[in-house]
Amino acid sequence: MSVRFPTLGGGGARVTQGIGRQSFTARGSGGKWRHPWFTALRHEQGQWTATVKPGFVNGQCPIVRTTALEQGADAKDFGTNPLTGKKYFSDPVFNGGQTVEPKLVRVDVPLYLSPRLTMSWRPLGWDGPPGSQVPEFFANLGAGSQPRIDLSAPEVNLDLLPQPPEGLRLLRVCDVVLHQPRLALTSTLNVLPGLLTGGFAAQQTLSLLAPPAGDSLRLFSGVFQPPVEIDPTAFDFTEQPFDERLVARCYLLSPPKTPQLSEPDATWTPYVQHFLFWNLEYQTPSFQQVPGDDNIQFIPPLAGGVAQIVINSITSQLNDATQRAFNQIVARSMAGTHWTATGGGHSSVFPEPETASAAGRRGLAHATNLRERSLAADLARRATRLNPAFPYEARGASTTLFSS
Amino acid sequence: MIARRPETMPVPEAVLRPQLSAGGRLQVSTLGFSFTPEAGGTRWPHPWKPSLSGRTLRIARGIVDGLWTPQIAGKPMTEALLELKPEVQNEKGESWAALEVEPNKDGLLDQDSRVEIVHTKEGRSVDPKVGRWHLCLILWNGQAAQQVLPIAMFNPRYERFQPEAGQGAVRHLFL
Repeated sequence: MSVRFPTLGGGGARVTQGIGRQSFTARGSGGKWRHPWFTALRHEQGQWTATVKPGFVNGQCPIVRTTALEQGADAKDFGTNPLTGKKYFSDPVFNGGQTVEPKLVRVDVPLYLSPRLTMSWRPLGWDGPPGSQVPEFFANLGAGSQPRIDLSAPEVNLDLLPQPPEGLRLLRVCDVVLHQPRLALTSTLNVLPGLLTGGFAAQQTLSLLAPPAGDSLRLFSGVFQPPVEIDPTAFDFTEQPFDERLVARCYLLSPPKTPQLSEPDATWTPYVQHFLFWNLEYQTPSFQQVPGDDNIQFIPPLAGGVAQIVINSITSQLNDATQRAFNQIVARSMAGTHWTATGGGHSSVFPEPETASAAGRRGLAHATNLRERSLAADLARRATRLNPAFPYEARGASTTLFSS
Repeated sequence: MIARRPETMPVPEAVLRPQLSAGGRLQVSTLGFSFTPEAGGTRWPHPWKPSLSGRTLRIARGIVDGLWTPQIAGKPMTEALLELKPEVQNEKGESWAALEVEPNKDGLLDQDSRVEIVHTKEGRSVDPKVGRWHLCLILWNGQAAQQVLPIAMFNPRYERFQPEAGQGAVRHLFL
């Protein structure tokens, strides 16, 4: 900016006088507001770690299961005792009788104490697993997807394998996941042979499985696995006793020309794509009781008892079918629902405007052309960023909360 | 910031006017140009925003069902502070300011319903008559309330869900 009159700096702004120009520097009154679950990556002590701004589920703050060593506690090495050949102070007498070194004991640290998450990076793209593709955002920055090689061909000429493009950048990825323990639905099938009666009884039982002892609402880094839905028509199944939500997907992008399979260091650039922006509520569905036993109880002997074997067989099959039908109806997953209490509205995404028809583009359709140009600019803007702009979209409440 | 135009200087031409990029506000007056920078989102006066002062908590006004303003100790929340008691903390040094509602027999809030903000160490309510929604977490260091972390940021809608007999407990849902 070029002005020909003096300027004065006020609150929140500073004026710097340069040669033939002045520059404005504006600052806010503090740090930028960050939404819950905001994840930041940091390189310290030779490794990339993540910290997450506290988020809440039903008012509870998740924990991070970690060790003092992972949190960067003083890891002073006193060396090896030449007499014993063991590390100094490694004897249990220095450790209160515990067999595990204190720095390796796992402890639960609430998220509001800003524990560090140790990341386990996995490669994505060029030096990743076969077929792995990089998101378009990173492709635009120079990360390459893995070339498609037809391994089914009778001969693969290694000389003709695609070479890395010039200035290739490598990509690493690691997920931050919210883990929510819950009850799980199980189904077991008991087949009871009845040789004397000529029939058999197959009974499918639905029950609940408690989560493992010690499991709790926590955050961990690793790989997010989408939930596997149960098949209510299957006889035997067991649900996973937890729900998981993807909080953020963390990426590290290498400088150009980094050797393949390199470990990330401080020269790599961190990016975070967020999937949760607000604190959550959580509810699981009610467990449905199976209706009472309506088995066909007794049919008087027919044909002098000769037909009893056939009758028993038929009634047994009828009972099994009835039981299976009941179970299929009520075998509803105990998977819970996360939502954000927003009073009803929870979306900041506006509906896509209608694209102009080919006929609309002809002539002087200025309004249509402008709208299309605005839409294209908006899409281009979205493609240049990983995260949406404020206000962030929230998870809506599910109507299944009201079904019984 | 105000850029003053001295009397001896000519009126700046339009082409020399400061041009704004995103995130600022420019005003023109007889004194010159006034530029207001973006605050960077540091202040977001959302509903239920807590501020801690000693052992009292001020909570920004929030509304339930678009109608009901909660009370604190019998007064509207806009006129009262929530007293925090050190004995109301769990073994981890945590307590909450929570919204408690007692709907009528139809599960709805009306003018006679209790809509109150309380200091508690309890989690979600298992009482079929009382719904509880946590507004903020208070962290204690012994007898001193050390930090408050906001949880609720929007005005909720309250629903009580009464399942059929034998199909589970009453649920208080804040949507």
